[in-house]
Amino acid sequence: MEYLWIIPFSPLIAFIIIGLFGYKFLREPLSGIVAVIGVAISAVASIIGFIDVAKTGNYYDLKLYNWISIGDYNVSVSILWDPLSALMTCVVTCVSTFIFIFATGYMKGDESYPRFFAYLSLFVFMMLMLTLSDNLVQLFFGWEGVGLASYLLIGFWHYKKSAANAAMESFVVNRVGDWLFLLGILLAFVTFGTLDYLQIFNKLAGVDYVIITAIALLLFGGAVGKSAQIPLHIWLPNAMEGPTPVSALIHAATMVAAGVYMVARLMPVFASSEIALDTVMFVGTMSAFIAATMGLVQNDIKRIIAYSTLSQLGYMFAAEGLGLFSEGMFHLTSHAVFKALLFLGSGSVLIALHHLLDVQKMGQIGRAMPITTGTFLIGALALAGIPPFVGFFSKDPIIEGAYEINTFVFLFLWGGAFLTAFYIFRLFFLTFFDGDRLDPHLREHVHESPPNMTIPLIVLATATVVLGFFKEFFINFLKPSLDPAYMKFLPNDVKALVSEGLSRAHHVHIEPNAFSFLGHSLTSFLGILILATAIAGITLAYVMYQIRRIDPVKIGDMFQPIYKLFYNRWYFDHIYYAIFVYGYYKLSKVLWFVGDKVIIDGIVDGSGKGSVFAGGVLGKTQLGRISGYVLQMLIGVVIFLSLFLFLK
Amino acid sequence: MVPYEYYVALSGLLMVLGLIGVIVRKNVIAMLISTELMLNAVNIAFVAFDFKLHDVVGQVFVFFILTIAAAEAAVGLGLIMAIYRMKKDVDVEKLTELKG
Amino acid sequence: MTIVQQLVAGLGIPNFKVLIPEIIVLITAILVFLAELFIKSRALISALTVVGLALAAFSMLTISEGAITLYGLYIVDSFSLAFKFFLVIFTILAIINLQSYVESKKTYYGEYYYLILFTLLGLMIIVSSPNLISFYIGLELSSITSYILVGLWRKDYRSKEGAFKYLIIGGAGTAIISYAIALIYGKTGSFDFARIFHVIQDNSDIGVTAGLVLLLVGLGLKASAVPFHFWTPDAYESAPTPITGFMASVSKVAIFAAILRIMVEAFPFSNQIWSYGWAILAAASMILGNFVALKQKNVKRMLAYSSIAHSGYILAALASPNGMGFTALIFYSIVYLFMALGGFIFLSAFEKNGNWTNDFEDFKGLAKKHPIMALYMLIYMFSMIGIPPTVGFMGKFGVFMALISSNVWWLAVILVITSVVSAGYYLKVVAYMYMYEPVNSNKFKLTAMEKFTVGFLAVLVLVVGIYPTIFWEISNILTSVLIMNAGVR
Repeated sequence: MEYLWIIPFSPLIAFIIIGLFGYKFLREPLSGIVAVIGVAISAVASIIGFIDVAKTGNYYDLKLYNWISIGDYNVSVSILWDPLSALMTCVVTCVSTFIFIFATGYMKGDESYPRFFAYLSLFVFMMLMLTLSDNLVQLFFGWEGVGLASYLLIGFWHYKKSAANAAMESFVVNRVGDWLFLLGILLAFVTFGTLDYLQIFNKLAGVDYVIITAIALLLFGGAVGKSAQIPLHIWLPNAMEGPTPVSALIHAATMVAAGVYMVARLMPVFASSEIALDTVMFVGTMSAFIAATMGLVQNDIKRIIAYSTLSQLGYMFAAEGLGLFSEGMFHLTSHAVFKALLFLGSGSVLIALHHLLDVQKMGQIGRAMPITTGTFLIGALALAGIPPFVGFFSKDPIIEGAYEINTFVFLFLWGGAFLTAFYIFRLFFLTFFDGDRLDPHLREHVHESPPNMTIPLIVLATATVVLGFFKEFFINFLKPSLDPAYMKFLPNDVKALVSEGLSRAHHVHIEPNAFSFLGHSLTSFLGILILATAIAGITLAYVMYQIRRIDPVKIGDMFQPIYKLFYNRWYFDHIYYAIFVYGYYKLSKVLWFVGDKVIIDGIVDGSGKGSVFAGGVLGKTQLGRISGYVLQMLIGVVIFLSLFLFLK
Repeated sequence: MVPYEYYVALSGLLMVLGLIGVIVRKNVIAMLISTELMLNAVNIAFVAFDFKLHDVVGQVFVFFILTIAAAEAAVGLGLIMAIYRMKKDVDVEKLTELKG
Repeated sequence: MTIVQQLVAGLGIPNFKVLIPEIIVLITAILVFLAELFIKSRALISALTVVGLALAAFSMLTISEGAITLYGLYIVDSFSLAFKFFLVIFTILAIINLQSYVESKKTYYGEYYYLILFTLLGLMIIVSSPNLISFYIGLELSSITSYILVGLWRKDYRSKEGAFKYLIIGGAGTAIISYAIALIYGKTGSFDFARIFHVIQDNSDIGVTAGLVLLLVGLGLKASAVPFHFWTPDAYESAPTPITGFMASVSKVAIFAAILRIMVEAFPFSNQIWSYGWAILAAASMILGNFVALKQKNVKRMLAYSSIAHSGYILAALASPNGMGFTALIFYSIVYLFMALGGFIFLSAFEKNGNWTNDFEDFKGLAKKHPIMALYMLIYMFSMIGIPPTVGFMGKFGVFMALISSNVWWLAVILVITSVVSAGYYLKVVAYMYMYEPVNSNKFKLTAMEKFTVGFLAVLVLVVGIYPTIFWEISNILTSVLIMNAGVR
């Protein structure tokens, strides 16, 4: 399995090559090609490794090199290759490959073309360090690294002020989560004396419940920041200022899912604490619902999809909180595919419309862009949860599981499903069909995108159709990593502990086989109910925005307060602005006064004044004068000596 | 016979006097002389300790100190000359351009 | 038998083989001293110096066996060899940037070269002294030449003032150190570390305690620890910038090495006293250095205060008197060489292109004018704050872990808090470089040497930050050498 090191380092090499020679020799399009080759190599390598793990169900823990020793513990750069990391790595590398190819078309003619691909390659490297890590330090390194890359890419068009601001916002909000995460790591190190996952799992049984809960909650705090869950969600919609391939790759498919992956990776830790699981479940559920309501009324095409990302990440967290870790990871996989598809589709639209973002000003571009429209429709259907697309097979089990485990969660997730179907089809109808609101100048130039953009769309759309039928394979594949009964690296006492923690989901039975699941949900009451909800959402969108039987404006007026609440995103941004921006401003003024005026001036003037006072006795001394210096030194010597000689 | 402790006490006293001299003198040359005084105080201490230990190694150290004191004085006087040439003054109170 | 033969038979011949590096440096110094009288070509003198130093560095690599020589006054072991090697290499890096700087300032003196060589010789002596006498001689050789180096700026009054202040305070420091040595000698009857080690086994004697504490004061003064730092900002600001870089990096690191050797080899049983003493000095340095640096308008003076703060971080490692602390100290002092010299050489190149000023204002828009140099400065600043993956982070991390392991929580907390405070002024440089438009359109020209030095050190800061293992291992080995040597002779 030694060849696995190729996976993370191939994008790194691409990054170095582009970084060194990008502007001088490669330029456009060679630097894009280098980046694509770099990530494609690691995609191939990870698929080979994936097949190997799928055959044997083994896990491999490779230590590449020792980085530094803390006491007895060696922090090393390493690769943990088990089904979970193999799946996540494959998702990252494969989706990245297609997004990279798409980006070679999307970024065409941009003067910073090499820089863009250098950043993207760097991002993939960091993301792979994160997914492949076998310890929390490397995970944190990757975690910060993807944050850095995301920060650089959001602010890629830094001459746009909004982009620079969004980059700053994402940076600041993510720091909040990172601090919690870092504290969690420190606490874990103090508790376990190690940061390797497998060793932590081994020591779980003997550790106090409160401490495990604290560790899990602190780490989850980091996940909340990175995966943009409520209440740290505000950065993600604004992060859409970056180029669209970035939104597709980082802010939909991979980086934001890192939190979900981290919780699954540390499943035994989370499963050891009821409170932690409940928190994950609650935060996920609320995010799933609230983000969906926010998405209802937005007009920016990318932001609508961004809110849908928030909401879908909420579903994944809810699944994990419910104890359905495999379902959560399967939803992550399927979401990565169809959400990348939706984002790339919207990117294709943006190129055609010269970066017009407002869906209210679009319309009737469907005919001119048949491939984009068709693939976008497939993505939208998958998101709404319509069979036979992959979204149905990954989202329905979560809602059905919630029905059996927790009614409260079920209600919100069910409601969220309706809203999801509605807002994505509102977007779909407004963008591709409906009346003629488009600027005539733009209209003339609307045309289908070039092949290097449409081919990734087609491939991803095909995956969206096909992937769902491999449900059984994925669930079985993940068992050695997420089902305590099959986990080879856990000792028996920990297995018992973990499986007790997951007992909330024990009575839930979800058909693993895709066809029987489909049959089951088309016959049972619950399955039909969920399906009908999604179809109702789509129909409502059709009635309101396509055939215009119901005037959306009237509805908006009718439910004015709710509309306003949703439109203003539940006032989260306003509240944060009031508390953090304004409050921080005030606070920093106070701090500045205390820090600058009192402490600094105090010290500086004080030592000056002090020596002026003493100067009256021992001749005039002042700062800048040697006498003053030596006097202060003398005082220092006297204090120092008396400290040891008399105060011992 | 005077006990050696007295010499050590004397050297300590001279040391402090030298420090105070650096602090209170306004003339840069006097300041330089004060630092020399401190070094000579150390010499007394060394000789006193040798007296107690019946050894000579301390007195060897005295030679090193003397040499170093001479070198330091030479450099110091050179600097004072340079300062005097530029400022036409040897008052410590005026040497305060660098501060903060 | 003649008298000479008798002497030799009685004492043995000093092992000159292990002294070859020092001899080469000395001969180079004398050669440069003579050549400077007759040769007009400045490049040649500078080349001669560099060749001599390179030879010295190379000869160090050939020494395979350590020895104690010069009748117990000089020790050559891996600790001293490793430090001497770094000192020589970084002196070369400082020297290759000197000529273009002093020439464009029109203040060229041939004296610079041999004075630096003598300073270096002094520093080499202090890192390899197993005896307070040779330590004292080396210290004074380096100090007195440094006074001159600071004052060697033609027709610049401030340079003379800084040098004079340095001389007076340094002279006071010399007096304090020699008094401390006298007190220790009075108790132990010896200057040899091993003898002192054996005689001082308890802390009860007031004379020894006073001697040790005064020694701490004197060494703290040379290492610019608060409250004995007063010479540092003035001397650093007024000296020619490459000289400042040399003093802030090479001289300082040699002092740290010497401090470590004296503490470990001579006073291991008094570790409660000195670990506490250094902790206090370190805390004061970190606090004062960082807070006062916040107020500076001048980047050079700011870096001088930052160097005080860094003395604090490095000395803080001594608050944990065990292998972990020593390793952290060695590692931090070595990597501090990269940052400090890099920062000051950058500054000298920067001054040369402006009006010989180095206020924050002058940094405006540097990123637009010379993006690569701005990037290097960014790396140095990040490293000095201690942001991973730079060496600064690894250094602070090592000190932090050592403090935690010895339960010196309060100092660890001060280290973290003052590091956060320090971001205030380091990031100010970055902000001025990146967030403002250039005020003038002056071309930013650099010599190949400056580009090489600044770039090389910046890369080193990053690479060692990402892969610190080699340097960490070196530090570990040197620590064990030091601990094993203690009291053996």
